[in-house]
Formats: sequence, C-alpha cells, structure tokens
Amino acid sequence: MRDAIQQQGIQEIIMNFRTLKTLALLGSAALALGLSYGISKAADSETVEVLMDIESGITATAGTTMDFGDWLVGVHTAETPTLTMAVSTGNVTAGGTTLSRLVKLTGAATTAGTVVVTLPAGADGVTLQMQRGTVSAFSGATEFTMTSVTYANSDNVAQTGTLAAATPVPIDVDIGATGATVSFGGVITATATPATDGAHTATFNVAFAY
Amino acid sequence: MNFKTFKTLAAIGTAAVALSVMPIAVNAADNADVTASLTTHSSITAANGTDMDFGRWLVIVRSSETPTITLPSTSGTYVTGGATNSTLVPLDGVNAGVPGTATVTLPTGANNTAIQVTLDSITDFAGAALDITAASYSTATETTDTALTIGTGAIVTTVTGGTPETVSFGATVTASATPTDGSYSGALNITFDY
Repeated sequence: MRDAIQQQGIQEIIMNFRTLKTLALLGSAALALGLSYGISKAADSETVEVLMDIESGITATAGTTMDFGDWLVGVHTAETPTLTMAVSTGNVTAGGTTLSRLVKLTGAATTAGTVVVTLPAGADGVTLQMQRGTVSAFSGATEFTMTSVTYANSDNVAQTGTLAAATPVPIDVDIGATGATVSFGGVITATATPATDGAHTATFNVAFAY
Repeated sequence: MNFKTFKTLAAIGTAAVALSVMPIAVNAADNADVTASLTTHSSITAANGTDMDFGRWLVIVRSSETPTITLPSTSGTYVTGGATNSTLVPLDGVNAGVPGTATVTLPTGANNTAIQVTLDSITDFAGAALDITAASYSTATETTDTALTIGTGAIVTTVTGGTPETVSFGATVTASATPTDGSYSGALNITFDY
C-alpha cells in the first residue's frame, strides 16, 4: 500500500515536472522570439523573415508648356511653312515662307516644354527609357501639325535629338530625388491659313520606364 | 498545440510588421503629357475707301480708233492715248482724277508684312462703248504704279499691324465708239490674302 502511494506520488511529481517543462519550453520560445535567446533543444525550427524595401518608383511631372507664342500665320497656296522651336533655348524661328507669312506678333518669350522625371533618393546615375506617344491634333486648327519633336536631357547633354513616336531613347538621371529635366521642342507645319484665330493646343505623352 | 498556435501568431505578427514597414505605391513607370500651344491671328480686314473717279469727259471716237484714258494709281493726272482723229477732253481738268482706294489691316504686331493683292475680275461699264481694260495699284511701300493682271497676286506691304494700309488703284478706260452721254460705273474686284 505504501509502495502504491509512493508510486502515485512519484508519478504526480513526474506529471508536474512535465507540465512545468512544457511551460518552461513555451516561455523559452517566447523569449527566443522576443530576445533571441537560445533554446536548449536537440532540434527545433524557426522562421527567418527576410525584409527588403523596393523603391522603384518613377515620378514624371509635366513642367512648362511648350509655348510657341503669338503669331500671324498666313499660308500661301501650296506652301507649308514651319515654326521650329529650338529645344535648347525655346526660341522659335519661321521657315518655308516664300510667299507665306509667319510673323511673331508679341515680344513675349517662347518656352520649351519640360517634364521632370524623379527617382527615389539614392538612385543616382540611373538610365531610364523615354518613349513618346503620338501628338494630338491642334485644337481649333486642323491646318497645323506637329511634325517633329525634339528633346534634351538636363542630366546628359549628349542625350538630345529627335524624339520619334514609339521609339525609346535613354534618359540619364544623375541624382535620385532631385530629378532630371527633359526639355521638348519641335516643329509645327501649317498647310493653310488657320480658319480660326486664337489659342491652339496639342499634347503628346512621354512615358518613362526602366 | 499551444506552442504551435503561439508560433503561428508570432509569425503572423512578424508578417504584419513586415508589411507595415514596406513602402506603398511603387510605380516602376510613369508618364506625363506635354502641351504645345500656339496662338494665331491671321485675319485680314479689307475695306472700301475712295471710289475711283474719272470725272467728266468729252469723248468722240472716229476712224475706228480705240482711244484710252488712263488714271494712274499714284496721282489724279490723266493720260490719254490712241486719239489721233478722236477727241478726249477732260472737262474738269487733266488733274481732276481720283484714284480708287481700299484699306487692308493686319493684326496688331504684324508690321512690315507683305501680303498679296489679286485682281479677281473687272465689272465693266454697262451698256456703253466703254470698257475698263486695265488696272494698276500702288501703296506707300510699293510706290510705282504697277499693272494688275487678273488672277495674279502682287505684293502689298502693310507697314503697321493694326493700322489700315491704304492701297490705291488706277485703271484704263478704252472707248470703242462714241458713247451715249451719261454716268457709267464699273468695279475692280480685289482680294487680299497671303
């Protein structure tokens, strides 16, 4: 009988010990997660989280409008005079005016169009691809067509020239977060005297990608 | 079981922390629209000025001649011709002619701009043995009396945009017979364009 009682007591002690061990194990695991303490076990497994911040964002923001200014446009029969904006200066010059007349009416400065493209801070010296879409028709003046678009990159003077539609060109961005300014010029060709006086606008889209 | 649940919760908590740390709205490409603007003022405004007035004449045509009276655009002094046996007498004086005029105006700022003047047609004198057979023009810049040919443009320089530029017109009247007395009128139909 006494042996039986002793045996039961030993078993209760063992059970309590197991329970205590389990609790201790849980406590150790919790500490391991929180404090990276080691666990005295012959084998165990744990999940190691891998974190990586991806900052690939490209931000393209329209800057100044490509402003050709205020012009008298008189197109003589069969002529197709042009207004050409230099991308480097924004200055506009007239051409193809044997009998046609293109006269700048005010002294207001003309301006090249700009788009600022920005990368995340620290992304220095990255080359993007720039691609332009088609140019829309000029509002209220079907007699005008933008027949050529030129570009220049503030961050790389060698990156300048004609920007054909759907033909990507490289654009370097020297300093992340600061951004590169891409300027745009172009050529407007007139096929007839515009029937309507006033302001005419057209747009084209430029997309930047890696 | 409790340990597994705890481990799962810990993993979920870690994932939630990781997600909250990662940046949002990553755009690997972006685009912008470039707007091109152009403002035009192309209107040409033409207006009648002074009627061309040949005044009063004694006209007698003889010997199948076709005498002419020319009023240049540059003065009121008549020039007659082809009247060997015929008679052409300016009853108000040889300098009494009045060249015709029209004005043409371009937009303000369009200074010293050359456009075209075209003689589209001549509306002849009605019911008379008198025909308007030629026309000419001159301006402050184009100072020489210059013949206008129907359908062919000639240069007119507008000196100051916004200010009407006067274009003067002359003509030649040819008589094929002695006309009936009366007052006759015709017209030069003129177009200004680029």
